[in-house]
Amino acid sequence: MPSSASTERAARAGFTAVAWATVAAVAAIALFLGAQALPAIVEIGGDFLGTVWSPVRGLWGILPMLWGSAAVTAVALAVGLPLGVLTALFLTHFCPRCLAAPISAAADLLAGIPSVVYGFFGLVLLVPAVRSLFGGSGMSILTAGILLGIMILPTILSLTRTALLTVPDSLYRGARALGAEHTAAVFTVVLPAARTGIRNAALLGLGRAVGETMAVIMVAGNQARLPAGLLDGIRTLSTGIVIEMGYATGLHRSALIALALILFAIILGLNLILMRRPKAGRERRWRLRLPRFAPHTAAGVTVLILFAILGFVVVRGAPHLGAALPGLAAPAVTTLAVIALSLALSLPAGLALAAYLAEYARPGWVMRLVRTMTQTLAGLPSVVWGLFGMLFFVIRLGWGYSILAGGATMALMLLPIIERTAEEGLRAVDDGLRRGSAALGAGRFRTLRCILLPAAGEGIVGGIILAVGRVVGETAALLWTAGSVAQWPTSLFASGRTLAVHMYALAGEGLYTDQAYATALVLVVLVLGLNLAAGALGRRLRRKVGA
Amino acid sequence: MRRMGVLLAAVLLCGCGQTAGVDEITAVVREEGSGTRAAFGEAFALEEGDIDPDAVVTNSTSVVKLCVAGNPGAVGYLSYGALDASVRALAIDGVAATEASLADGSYPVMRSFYLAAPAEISPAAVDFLQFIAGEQGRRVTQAAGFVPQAFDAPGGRGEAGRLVIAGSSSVAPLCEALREAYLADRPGAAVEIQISDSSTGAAALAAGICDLAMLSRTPAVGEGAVAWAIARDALAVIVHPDHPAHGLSSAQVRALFSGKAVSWHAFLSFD
Repeated sequence: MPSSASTERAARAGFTAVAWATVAAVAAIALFLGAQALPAIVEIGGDFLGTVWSPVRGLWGILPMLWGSAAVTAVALAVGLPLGVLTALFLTHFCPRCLAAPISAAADLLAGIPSVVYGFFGLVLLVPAVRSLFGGSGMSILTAGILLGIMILPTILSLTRTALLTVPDSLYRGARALGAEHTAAVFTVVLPAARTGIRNAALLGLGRAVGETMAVIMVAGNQARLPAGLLDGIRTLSTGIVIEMGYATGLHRSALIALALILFAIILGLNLILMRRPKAGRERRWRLRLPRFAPHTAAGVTVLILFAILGFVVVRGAPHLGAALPGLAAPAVTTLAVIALSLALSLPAGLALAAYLAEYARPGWVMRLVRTMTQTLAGLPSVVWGLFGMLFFVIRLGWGYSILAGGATMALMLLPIIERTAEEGLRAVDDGLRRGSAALGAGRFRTLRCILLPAAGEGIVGGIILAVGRVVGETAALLWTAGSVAQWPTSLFASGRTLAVHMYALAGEGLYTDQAYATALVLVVLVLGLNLAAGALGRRLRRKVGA
Repeated sequence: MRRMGVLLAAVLLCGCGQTAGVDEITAVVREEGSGTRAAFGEAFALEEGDIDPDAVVTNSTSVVKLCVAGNPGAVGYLSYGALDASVRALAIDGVAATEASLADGSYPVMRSFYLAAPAEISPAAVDFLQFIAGEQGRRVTQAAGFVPQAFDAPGGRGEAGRLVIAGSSSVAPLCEALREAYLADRPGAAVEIQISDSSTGAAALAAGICDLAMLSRTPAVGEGAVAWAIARDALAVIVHPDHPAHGLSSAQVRALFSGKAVSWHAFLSFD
């Protein structure tokens, strides 16, 4: 057995290396895309600032899309953030124990539903609702924002919940001891104490909202001109990329990559602003005056949404299950293969990164740099990933449309999710355990391996659930890297379609929509099974620590 | 919070006060660069600049169909092969899209589907093209809802083997049907179909990733060394099943999609 001192040194070096590799990867992706976008930036230049986008006519104005992304994301946050945070608060502090588990399980399930299903849900239920309430075509900024708000709900809910569980119980008890009743103690002490976690949840939600394409494309109307109001349709940056990338060649393609680069820069800038440490004086002002039953109301709305979406999938899919099932075996196996591969690649790296940020790095610019880069990875829309994966893994490395290329692309996408949740989990571990372990002579790595990781098991498992959901629901990135061939995966270099891509292919031409719904149902059941398995694993881990 | 509630109620009331009728025209178009959009524009002499900037844009046939099926004031277009009972196709200039009018060419809105190949065409591709041009291929094409088109398949000795076809999602259903019949006929063959779109298919062809590219529009210069028009497809102009109109003239279609028509009521009562 190697001496513990050298293991400790090796671990520190390893974690630091992973952190720097992440920074290098983000820089490399930006440079790679930058090189591809350069021709358009040089040739189009100031014409990018116009108000009409019509490449066929040589009009390259991106202002409508910038405006569209901002407006849709703002509506999404206005819907998803209060709903997610308050529901999380309900689950942690106001909910009978018997209700908390099923509600959060259902929310985790929502995270795994492919965007295309949300798109159909929006198109079939939300669009007519908005049309009959407000008039217009129903395909609007408002509709897309509400749908996106629903889509980022599970992310915000799950992360806020972890953050709320992180708040030391002593704060709550202290408030109670000073005479505050339960509701007041939770609203004024516990909730503000979790603000960093909530801010991070909002960040990840924001990234998801800005980057989401496959659902937005179905309900936003996609008009590339400036809208007159919330009820007008709009094209966002990410849908602008996905809607035309297929057909684009030459300058047009380069211009779309430039759009991706702009998206990249926006996300990076946003992270830089939000990552700045809040000034000491501001903290006290973070106090919300909430109505007493806000968490209950929010939880009620969330549960209604959960039922509406799950019900939608079951009602539309169940009658056609028989017709769709025979074709699903190969995509199901491909899905599992891509999940296994992407987790095998991203889990060690994500955990190492989380360990570095939570246990090793000192607060300072290095930590901020690594964190900003990780967040930037999280914000990149899947179509940019798909494009990058295709240009880099499929063509540059010569892997072809393959499960390997798909898995590698997904691994990059999962890294920030795993890192974020694992870090939250590690930070949630009582500091007493760290000190106790150190007092007994254990080094940082040993403490991490034997004490902290198992204790953070639930948070890590939560991250894995989100990650699996992301893979299961991903369409754009996999379509461009793993291809869409419906066949049994015979090797890592074989092309294959996952269930979501299968569903996308079925739904695309409108000929097999029923089978697409049935596939969606199977997807949901698959995610449910994976979630239950992961939950059981998390509980076993916790029991092992004897907590 | 109370203020927010009042605001929300006000917004809801204002919204309900507006006319939410079927009278409002919502044109649904495909995205720029789509083969279907190009073919539609060509058929109705709609230049890119003519198309209503407020028209809803989508990159999927099924979304066009769902939009129109769910909105009594919407009008859209799609491939005849994708038509079903959820929407209604309108007659154009008095000719309805039926199997007969497609076959004799009297239906005015038609386009061709192409398969493109590189200069060095693979034996497997030759064999597949010869199959499509043959009697059985024509039967399958007809059964799939498309109009078979006579074309000169490449000569030379074809050989059933591994074949990769990539490209247009509009052509894909036809190729899937052809593939099934082909595989039943040639046990030694293995055909992969990668669904994306016309230009991606052409790019894949140039990169050597596939043997044949599917295109739902006329191949541009440099997109494959050779291309064959293997079938013809009709474009149907569709409305909600409850819509009062039964047919439109070309001029009316042009007006609808260029944003010159204000409301269905005013539009249809003009003639």
